[in-house]
Amino acid sequence: MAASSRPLLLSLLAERESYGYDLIRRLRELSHGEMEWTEGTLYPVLHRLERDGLVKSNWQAAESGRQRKYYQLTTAGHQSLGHEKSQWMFLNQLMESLWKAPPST
Amino acid sequence: MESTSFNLNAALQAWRAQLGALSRDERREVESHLQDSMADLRSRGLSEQEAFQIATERLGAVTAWTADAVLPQPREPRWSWLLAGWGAMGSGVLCLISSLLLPKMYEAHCLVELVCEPTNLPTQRSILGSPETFLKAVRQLEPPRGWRDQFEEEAALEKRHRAVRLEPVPDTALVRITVSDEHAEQAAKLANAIPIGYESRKVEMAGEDRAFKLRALEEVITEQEMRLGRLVAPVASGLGLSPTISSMGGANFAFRPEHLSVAMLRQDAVAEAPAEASSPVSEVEAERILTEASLNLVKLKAEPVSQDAVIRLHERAAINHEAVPSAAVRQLQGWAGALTMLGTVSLWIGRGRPRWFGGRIAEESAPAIAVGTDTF
Repeated sequence: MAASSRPLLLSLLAERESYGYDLIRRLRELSHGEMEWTEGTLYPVLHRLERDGLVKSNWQAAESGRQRKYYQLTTAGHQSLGHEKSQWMFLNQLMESLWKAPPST
Repeated sequence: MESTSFNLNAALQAWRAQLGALSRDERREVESHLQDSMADLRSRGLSEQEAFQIATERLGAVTAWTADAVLPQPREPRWSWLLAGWGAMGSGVLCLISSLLLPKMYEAHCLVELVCEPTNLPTQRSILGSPETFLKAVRQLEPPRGWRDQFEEEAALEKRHRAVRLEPVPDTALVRITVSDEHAEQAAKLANAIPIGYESRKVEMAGEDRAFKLRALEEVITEQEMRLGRLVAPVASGLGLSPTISSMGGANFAFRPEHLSVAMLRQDAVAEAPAEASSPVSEVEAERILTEASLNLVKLKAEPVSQDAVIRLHERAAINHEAVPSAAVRQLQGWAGALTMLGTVSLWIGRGRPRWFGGRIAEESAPAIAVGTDTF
C-alpha cells in the first residue's frame, strides 16, 4: 500500500491546499476509517514530493492564530497526478479483467 | 481526571529536545502537527496531559518518521564560499603547475675538516659559510662563458649562496657542504671550490689583519717621531743643527738608520740642553717606543701570514644526476596541498551536503499503512 501514498496525496492536494494533520484526517474520513496514514508515512512522502517540485508549501496562520504549513500542487504535480491516474486506471482495468475472467478448469 | 501537576510548557520543552536533528522549519511543522492533534483530542474530552501523551505517542520517534525530512535538501549555494573555494582550488593548481615547471635541481656534497682550536671552530664554520667565501669559491672556478658574470651580480650571488648548506657533523670538526644547482656538474664544481674559497678567504683575512696592524704601528711611529721632533728641535737649533724630523714621518714609513742617528743626536743635544727645555724621561720613553715600534714593524713585515685554522678535504663532491626537489618546489607543493584542502572545504560548505549524504529515501522503508485491521 505504500505505493498508493503518492497518488493519494497528489489527489487530495489537487482538491485543495492542505496541511499534514488535515490530510491524515481527510484520508481517514474518505476511507470511512478503513485506511489511515501515520505521520511517519505521510511526512516523508510529502517532503519528497516537495523536493521533487510536485508540491510547494507556505506557512499560513490558522483561525486560532497558530501557524500551519500548507501544501499545494504545482503544475508539475498536476502533470504527475495525470500520469499516476492513467497508470492506476490501467492497473484497475487489468485487475478487473483478471478477476472477472472465469476460472480455468 | 486532569493532573494538576502537569505543565504543558515544560512537557513541550522536553519533547522539543528530541527534535535536535531537524531544521527550524521542520521543527515548526512537527510542533504544528502536535498542536493540531492535541486540539483534536481535547475536543473529544481528553485532558491536556492525556492529549499531549497520546499525540506524542502517535508521532512516535520523530527522528524515525522524519527520516526523509532530515535528508539533505537542495540548498541555495553559498556563492561567497564557492568563489573562495574555486579561488583556492585554482591557486592550488597554479602552485602545483608552477612547481612542475620549475627547473630540476641537483645536489652535490663534499666533506671537509676544519683543523683548529675547538673554541675557534664556530668562527671558522661561519667563515666557511660566509658569502665572501662563496664569492671566492665562484672565482676559483673556470665557469662557462658568462657564468661568472651571472654569479657576480649581487642578487644572483645571494640567490646562489642560499643554495649552499653547511651541516656540521656532531662532535667532530667535520662539515658537510651541500650545494644545489640546476646543473649537476656545476653543483659538484661549486661544492669542491668552497674549501678553496675558504683558504683564499683566510689568506685575505690574514692580509687584512696584517694591514691593520701595520697601519697601527705606523701611526705609533709617526706620533712618536713628532713627539721627539718637538723635544729635539729647540736643542738642535741651539747647537746650530737642523734635523728634518718631518722627513722621517709619512704614511709609508719604514725603519731607517737615520732613526738611530737622530736618537744619538737627540741624546747629545739633551746632555747639553738646559734642563727646562725638555723632559729627559719623556725623551727616553719616546725613543724607546719609537725604536720598539720600528722594530715591530720590520718584524711584522717579515712575518709569514699566520694560519689559525687549516681546512682538509675528506671527501670530494661527485656529480650526482639524481634530481631533488628544490626548496621552492617543496614550498609550492606545500601551498598547493594546503590551498586544495582549503578549497575543498570551502566548496563543501558552499554547496551544502550532497544528496547522497544522510541516508536512503524514506519511502522505501516507510512505515506500513493501516487499512482496516490489516497492516500492509
